[in-house]
Amino acid sequence: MIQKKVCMVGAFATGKTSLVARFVSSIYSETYQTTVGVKIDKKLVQMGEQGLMLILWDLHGEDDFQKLRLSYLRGSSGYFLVVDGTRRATLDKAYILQSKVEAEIGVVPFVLLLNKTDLQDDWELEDSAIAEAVNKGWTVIKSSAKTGLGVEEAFLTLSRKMLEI
Amino acid sequence: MMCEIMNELFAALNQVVLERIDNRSFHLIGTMPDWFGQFFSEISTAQSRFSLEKTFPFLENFLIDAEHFWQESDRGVLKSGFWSEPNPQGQDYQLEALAVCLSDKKILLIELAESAYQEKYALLQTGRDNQLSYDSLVKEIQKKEILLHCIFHDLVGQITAVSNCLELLGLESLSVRGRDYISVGRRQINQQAELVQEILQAFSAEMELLQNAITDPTQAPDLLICTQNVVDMFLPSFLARKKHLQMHPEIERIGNWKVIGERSRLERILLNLVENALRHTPEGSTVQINLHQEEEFILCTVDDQGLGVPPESVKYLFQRFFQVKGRAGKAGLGLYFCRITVKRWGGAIGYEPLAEGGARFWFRLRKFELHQSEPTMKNPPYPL
Repeated sequence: MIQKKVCMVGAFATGKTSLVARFVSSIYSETYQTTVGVKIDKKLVQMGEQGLMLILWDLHGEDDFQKLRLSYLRGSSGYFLVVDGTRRATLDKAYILQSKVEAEIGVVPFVLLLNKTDLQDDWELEDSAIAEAVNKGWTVIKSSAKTGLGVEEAFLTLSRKMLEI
Repeated sequence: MMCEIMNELFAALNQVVLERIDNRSFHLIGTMPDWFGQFFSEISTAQSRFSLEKTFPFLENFLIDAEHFWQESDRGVLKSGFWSEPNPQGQDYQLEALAVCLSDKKILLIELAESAYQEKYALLQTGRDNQLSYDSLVKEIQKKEILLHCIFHDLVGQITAVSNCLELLGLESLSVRGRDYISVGRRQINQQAELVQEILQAFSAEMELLQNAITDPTQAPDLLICTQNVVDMFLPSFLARKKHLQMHPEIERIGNWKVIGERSRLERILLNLVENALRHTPEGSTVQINLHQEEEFILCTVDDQGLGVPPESVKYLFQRFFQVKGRAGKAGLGLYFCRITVKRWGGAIGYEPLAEGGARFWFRLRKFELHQSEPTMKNPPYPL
């Protein structure tokens, strides 16, 4: 069975842990619980005839309190850049983190997740900002860990991209 | 006796002590703590050799750093940082690994770090909760500022129009009594303007209600009608200042001018742009509004014959509280309001200098097709 390491990267409170919990255990909690260090989970996905074991590294969100340890990214086959669509600044942070990740591990597949689409009233990402990411050739998926929208699609898309290499 | 105590001590402290044998395996030193046994149930004696990487993917990564540390250093400790990992039953454990060198032996300690983890967790959680609360508060304040500005425009715009009408009326040949009435009217309107300032300061909960008003897509506003309303409202002000305001004569009066948006806010956008043009266009000149049909959008332009915007200021024009140096507006929120409102409706707004001199402010809004029951938010128009 093929095994791939996937990292969840993004600013704090963007929903990285919730996305993993939704994907791995189909659960969601309304309470924000910050991640300290790294949380490891595993999930077996079936890609056609091929079984793929995803080793999910849910990295703590970066902010003034905790900086991302780039060594955690070593050996990653892919990663998710997670943005909270209700906080515009988290998209700016994602751009910064993407550059750091690429400088550390080189070019590997990734998906930009615009999370919390269930909070449409508070949505702050303008269409032009999203178009900017798309124009860079990035794969962008809107998601909601709460409703499950886009979550399965995102993980399967990244899995597919990782297997294509 | 001493050795036995030491063997038990680490287990009592929830730490497992391992010695690196070769690149692939470790062996256990001392007693195995219970929690570790849940991950490695097959290890029962201190002589067992086993690999950690499969069970703890996190350690596969850390051991690369640890190996460098063991090769190069014989002092100090290398810490992995906290990580959480579920045991085979799905229960999460918070762990931390430490690499040390003791008499050329490569030692790895893995600690069940529950209390240290909880302390750090509590600290970070509090800090981040506070940061989120602060961000949320800032956002609420911004919303209120914008709403305040909208109310300001709604009230003051009409007061200004009445004041200008009275001023024009004063130029007519009136009886003495008629002039007295106009004088009273102007005093009252001035008092009204002062009252507005006070009311604005007292507003609070009502603002929220207005801000959260839901836009009904079936009530799509007609941009032509909105423009005509704004022109009618501003004509007296322009006349009083010996300036002209007109809609382009070639605008077709028939056809679909409905756009995605909401009437009162759309008129407020036009009010902002026309009021800016009124302030900046010189006496005797004309401000012209034009509407163009595009494939999916309607473009509205407001042209004045003023000095235009200094090039260094253009990129800040639509930011909050920005005012062109020496040409202060009211609060520096008008164009900001226009930008966020137009963008929210899936449109675009911008500025460009006119070749013949003067300023052009424009905005594009998506057409509301007559068969349409829901607003479409497909591709955005040209970015700012």
